[in-house]
Amino acid sequence: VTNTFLHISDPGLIALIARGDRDAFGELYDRYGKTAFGLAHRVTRDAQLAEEVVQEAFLTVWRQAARFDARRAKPSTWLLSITHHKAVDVVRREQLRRTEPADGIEEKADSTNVPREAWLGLQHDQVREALASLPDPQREVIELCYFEGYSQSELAVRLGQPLGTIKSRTHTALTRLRAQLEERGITTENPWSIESSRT
Amino acid sequence: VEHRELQDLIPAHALDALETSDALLLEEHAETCEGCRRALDEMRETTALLAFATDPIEPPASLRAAILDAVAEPKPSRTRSRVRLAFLRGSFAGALAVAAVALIAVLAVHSGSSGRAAADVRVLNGTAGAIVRDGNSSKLVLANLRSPGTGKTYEAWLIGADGKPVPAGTFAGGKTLVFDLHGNADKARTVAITVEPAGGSKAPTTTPFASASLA
Repeated sequence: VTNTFLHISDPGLIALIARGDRDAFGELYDRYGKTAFGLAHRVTRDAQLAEEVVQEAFLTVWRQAARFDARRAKPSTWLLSITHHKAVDVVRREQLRRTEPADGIEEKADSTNVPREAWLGLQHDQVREALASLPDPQREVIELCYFEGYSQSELAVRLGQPLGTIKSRTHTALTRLRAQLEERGITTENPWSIESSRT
Repeated sequence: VEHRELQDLIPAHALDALETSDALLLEEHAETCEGCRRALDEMRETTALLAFATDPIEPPASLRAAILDAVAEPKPSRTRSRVRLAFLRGSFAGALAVAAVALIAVLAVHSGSSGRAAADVRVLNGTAGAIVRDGNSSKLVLANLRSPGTGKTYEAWLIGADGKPVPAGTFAGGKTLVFDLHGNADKARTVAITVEPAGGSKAPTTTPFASASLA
């Protein structure tokens, strides 16, 4: 089976989705479904909730595709931000934050699309390395907020630090993370916004 | 609130780590402040990459099918979608107005109490309004709701996992309306509002014209 979307960019897919193209929507799912599900599962630690989160996130993309502004965000950023937001919502609502490990989903390798797997694997390693390179207190604020769903004020209480300290630490942490990502050749720039700002 | 203070909230918001009231304030500010909007967009490009640091997991095949099935209906034609866009824009403006109303409600709920968790605000679809949950109380905040008509009333419903609507109180229209929902909203997944004969009904007799997901 040939993939007719192979040479369609992510913003191109969103443009097709905005016109109601279900195949393009399926392709977007195939590109980012695993990452979105991995993220939702990491944050909620529950396979059922992760499914609900991912379904809601993709349906939000479907409904709002016509309003997507490619100059403001990459499609993957948009989708994964929505996914994260919904996952954090669920955690806060259900008081799901637990210390026990996530339920027993095995990470499964999917060999159906080798270049995509390779790209995801590389991205995975590089983002982890960039995160690991941060000093402990900075890595900690990112991990507790992003992966565990803590709010900044909850974190201030938990770490026994003033809120202002947590805020400035978060700022430094993200600025450094960005520099570390760029050092590893992962651009945080949105290519479409660069183009548009030149014209 | 000052631009400067809101600007400081950007990194936390990019991590989804703000309390709801602060998040709403910043979102509203970013609508009109291009600098903050750009800073937030840029920060999000970085935080979204964190998703790739998690182990990707192959979701069950049923999820792909469920998602694609959910969009199986063909989308409306272009003219329809224009109308719909205009409607969305209208409702977005409404949502902003309501965010302000909801914030007032949040502040009202919070005055005199300290160290409590921030209220949870859910914007309603279908009419300008929001649900504000704070501890044990859940308030319905509505703006510019027309009178339901003679012999009629509005009725709110809490719908739980079993899908059965439970009456949560009746009310009339008004410019700004803050209404305490009866019953326990914690267990509910959805809040819906219908028009009912005066006095209210035990089960909805009309289709809800507004709803908010609590999920």
